[in-house]
Amino acid sequence: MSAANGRSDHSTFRDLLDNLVVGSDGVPVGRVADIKAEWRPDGRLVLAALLFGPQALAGRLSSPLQPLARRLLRDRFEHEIPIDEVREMGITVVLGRPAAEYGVGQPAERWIGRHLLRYLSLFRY
Amino acid sequence: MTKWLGIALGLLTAIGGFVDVAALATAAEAGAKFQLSLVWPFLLGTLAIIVLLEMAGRYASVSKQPYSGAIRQHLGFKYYLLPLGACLIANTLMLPAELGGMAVALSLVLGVNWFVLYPVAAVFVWLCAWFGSFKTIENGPALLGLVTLAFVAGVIALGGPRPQLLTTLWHPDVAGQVPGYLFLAAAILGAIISPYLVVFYSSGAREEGWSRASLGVNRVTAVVGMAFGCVAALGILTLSAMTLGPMHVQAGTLGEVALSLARPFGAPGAYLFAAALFVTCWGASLEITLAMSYNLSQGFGWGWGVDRPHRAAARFRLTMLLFLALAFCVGLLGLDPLTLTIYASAVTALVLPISLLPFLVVMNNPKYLRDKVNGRAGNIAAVAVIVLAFLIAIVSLPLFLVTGGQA
Repeated sequence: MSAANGRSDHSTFRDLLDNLVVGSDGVPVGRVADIKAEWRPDGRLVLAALLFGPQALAGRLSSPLQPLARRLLRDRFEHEIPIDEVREMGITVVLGRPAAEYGVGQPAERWIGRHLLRYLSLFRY
Repeated sequence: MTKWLGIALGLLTAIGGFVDVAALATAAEAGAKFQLSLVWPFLLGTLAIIVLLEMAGRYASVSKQPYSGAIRQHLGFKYYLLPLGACLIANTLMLPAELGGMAVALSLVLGVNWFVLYPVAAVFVWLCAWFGSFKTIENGPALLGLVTLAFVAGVIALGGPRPQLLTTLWHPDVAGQVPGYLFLAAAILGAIISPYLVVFYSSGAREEGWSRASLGVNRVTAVVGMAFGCVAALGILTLSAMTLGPMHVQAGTLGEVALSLARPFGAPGAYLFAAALFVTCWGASLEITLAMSYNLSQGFGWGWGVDRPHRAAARFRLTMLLFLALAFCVGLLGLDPLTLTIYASAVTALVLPISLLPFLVVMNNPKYLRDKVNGRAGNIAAVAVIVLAFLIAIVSLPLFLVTGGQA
């Protein structure tokens, strides 16, 4: 990855935002809410991680929203996936391990399943 | 052979999204008040929705991603919230109207007040959406929806429209009723070009695992499905013009619309109407409920799919449940289904451009569509539909205020 450099086969950081991320099993992990980049000593800006969660999204909607979201949610739903985990970067970002191992959204899915669907879904659970 | 059975997706989309309570009401009212002079919005709307569905299906087949996700991916999270919010408002008004339509259909048969049957309709839709497989949801209303052809049969049984009625096709008699005529035209277009149709269709294409090899099926499905919907709607309009117009019945209630089928078929005609109303509203209720869950789940990248175990798509299921509950509560306010339909169509018309503008961006990205991006003709068609959507949005509100929502 690099910042835009005029070559059509290269992507910009912007291209990554909102992309669908799936695990190696094809199960959705989520959409990229934001990205984390690092300045290297040699002056290069390098992509470090993909961010997921409502606080990251709130920050993109409006900067003042982010501290408010952080105060309310206290980082409980935020996730960071290091860029080294990315196996394939196309129109869908594919990670190296199954989706469940990254934990993004999994607690919510499990909680809804255990407290609601188990009673309502019967044979479709 | 099996892949051509996928045309059921188009038929369901047509029965649920094209011939729903809104199209039924507007078609009957158009026929009763303006004879055949409002055939053109149906034809125009059909062309527009065919263009949109073909593109949505092509995108889903080639990129393997549905349309809702594409909006966020191409235009960002901020923009995605606009059509999502617009869909939520419009669908929260439209779903109770469809549930109300089902309840009215049941009340025509059982002779019980429709409001008492409203919860029955809601529970039935929940059960179908909750426990049904995608195939069942797709094929059930599609097959039973053939009953809407009863309106066409009624036109034939009465010997077809008389020559003086046919002249209203090109000589509309709208003296003193121009705002009402234009409002109804906009309402018809708003009822046909519904964004939830696009969301449901593209998601259905993914549910069925369409690929590049399905592009032919996609084209035929969009054309055949919507043409079927158009024929059924024009059957309603023509029969209404032949039967209700001469009796000066305004088709202001669903009960009055039922009279149109009673004329050619007698008492069984009323049951046929009840069956057609029930099936079309059932199909639309399922489509709207699923479309809302698809939209949110795809936009946020959650697991989704009717055939997945519920625990594997828990947030998709929860969205479905909460949305149905919300829409059900709106219906409990006791507004007449037709009044709700008018409000929902007006909201849909107002926000139509927001939902359709992304087509121009999405369908021209070779990274996603490779050699299947829009050609010049495709882009001209897309621009024409979006211009039409803007026109509908611009004229809808003033016409709604002038006419008070009455044609």
